[in-house]
Amino acid sequence: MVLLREARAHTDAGLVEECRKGDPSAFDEIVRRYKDRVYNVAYRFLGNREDALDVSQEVFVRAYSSIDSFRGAAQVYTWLYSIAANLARNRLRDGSRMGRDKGISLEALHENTPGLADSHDAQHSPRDSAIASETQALLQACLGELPEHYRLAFVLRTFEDLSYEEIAEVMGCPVGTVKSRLNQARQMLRERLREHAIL
Amino acid sequence: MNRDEIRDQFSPLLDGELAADERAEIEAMLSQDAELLRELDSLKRVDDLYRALPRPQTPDNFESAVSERIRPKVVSLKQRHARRNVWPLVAIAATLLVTAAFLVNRMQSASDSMQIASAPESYPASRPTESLPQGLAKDEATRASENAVEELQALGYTGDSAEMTAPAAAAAAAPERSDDVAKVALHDSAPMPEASAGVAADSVVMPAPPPASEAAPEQAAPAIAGVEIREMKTEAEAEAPTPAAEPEPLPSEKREIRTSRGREMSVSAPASPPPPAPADQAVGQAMSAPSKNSEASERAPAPRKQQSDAAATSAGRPERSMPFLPPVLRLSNRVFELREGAFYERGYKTEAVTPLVRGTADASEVLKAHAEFAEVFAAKETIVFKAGDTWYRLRTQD
Repeated sequence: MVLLREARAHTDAGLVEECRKGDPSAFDEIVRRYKDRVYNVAYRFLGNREDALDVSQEVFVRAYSSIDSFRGAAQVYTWLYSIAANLARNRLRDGSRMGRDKGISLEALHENTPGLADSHDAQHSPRDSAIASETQALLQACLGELPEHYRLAFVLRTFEDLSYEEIAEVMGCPVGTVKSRLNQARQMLRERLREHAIL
Repeated sequence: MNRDEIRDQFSPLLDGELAADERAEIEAMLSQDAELLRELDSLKRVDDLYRALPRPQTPDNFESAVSERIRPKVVSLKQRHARRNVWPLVAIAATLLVTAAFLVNRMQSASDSMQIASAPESYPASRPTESLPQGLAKDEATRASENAVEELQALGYTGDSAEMTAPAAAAAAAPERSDDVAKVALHDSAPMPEASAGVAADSVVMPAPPPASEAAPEQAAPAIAGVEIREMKTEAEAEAPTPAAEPEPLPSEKREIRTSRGREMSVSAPASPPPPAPADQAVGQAMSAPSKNSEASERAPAPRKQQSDAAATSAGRPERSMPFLPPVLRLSNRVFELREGAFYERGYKTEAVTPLVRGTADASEVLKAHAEFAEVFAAKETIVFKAGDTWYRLRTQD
């Protein structure tokens, strides 16, 4: 019985159930499991580290508040991604803090691009690193130019490896629409990257 | 499949979302179209570039920041959960409270019935003292049934011998008494009335109320007994089952019941009764039927409970029945329950009744047709019974 309980506590559904019973440590575990994935989606969608952090925190706060409404049939992460997508879209509409809206510079994108500091390692010269960081910033900038629906589908697929069905669940649209949006997103990115001579 | 249709399948092909046959078909076409193949390769490079981007990590304080924000919600969630858990406990507690109140009420009723009882000296020497122990061991319903049988036996009925009780035989041999006696003792529950000075310390004789014709029964209630009897009235009103629609609620019949009870009280004299005190006589006269005193002297002694009932009745209050079970009569192999002054055959609800008066031609005809109700017709009480498909309300001529 204890083993069964422990095993259940290790599943997402078990954590949610424990959380519903008022165990805050269960929700801490959910946060630990999904914080980086949620943050990654938020950052790739918003293109801004600060906004992404705010949205990510808000995602978990909202999730905790509405833990009773979570349907056991869905995955916890698709539920979290759904919350994140809604909050991120609202953030874009409310604040217009995205780089493209402000005419953000590559320097600003560079500052907001995570992992660039790590790329300055011994195997790469400073010049290579600079090129790499600029490429990363460009990639993020091109991504930010996509329409929201295309961008979200592409982020969920490329960065989080969600299946078409899972993306459809997060976005609340048919699988065929997901396929179409992904096609459009890739073709648009290809054109934008060609313009920047990255491809 | 044309080239545009093939382009539409590029993403599912890259993402591994195509079925095997679809994938094979597209790959076969791509092998013959270098331009499409290059397009597909460029899309794959886009994917590769983005997949190669570093994954951002949340800062170390992310979890604590989230915890800070949800801490108030944690408390509320716990409270919500606690509230959810506490409801079954509340339900259990409520059930226990109701049960406790029920038991206390019953104990109180038993205590009341014991407080209002006849004085011990009014019982025959041969009769065992019915001093019920505190806690009420004997089943009152059973006693009430026995009391009813006793009364009928005293009236000359030949009922089931198994239902006969010893006092009935003693009552048959009891000498006639022209005076009706009823004593109501208020044990340790009321101050000694001035009128009862000189009486036994633990018994109080009710002062005689004025005759029923001169004063309303309520007005006739003695002040000292009022406290106890008022409580009894309240309980009786709450506990006594009341028919939804009492057919022909005749006050005179109700009086008859009271009178009958009063007669029960009046024949509580033992085989060799002590001479009643003057005050006792006055009470007895007030409690007995004005014109039935001679009949009353032929009755068997009534148990203490009946005396207390009669005391309440004499005070003009509704007759006090058992706390939860009404007195029952068993006549003609049927069971009759006392409700509002008449004995209703078990099973009666609100059906229409045909009135009958004992001794009339109508009653004789019904008795002739339903000889099995001989005991019912021989009784004096108002009885509602069913013969055939008809409900009758049989009463004695005033």
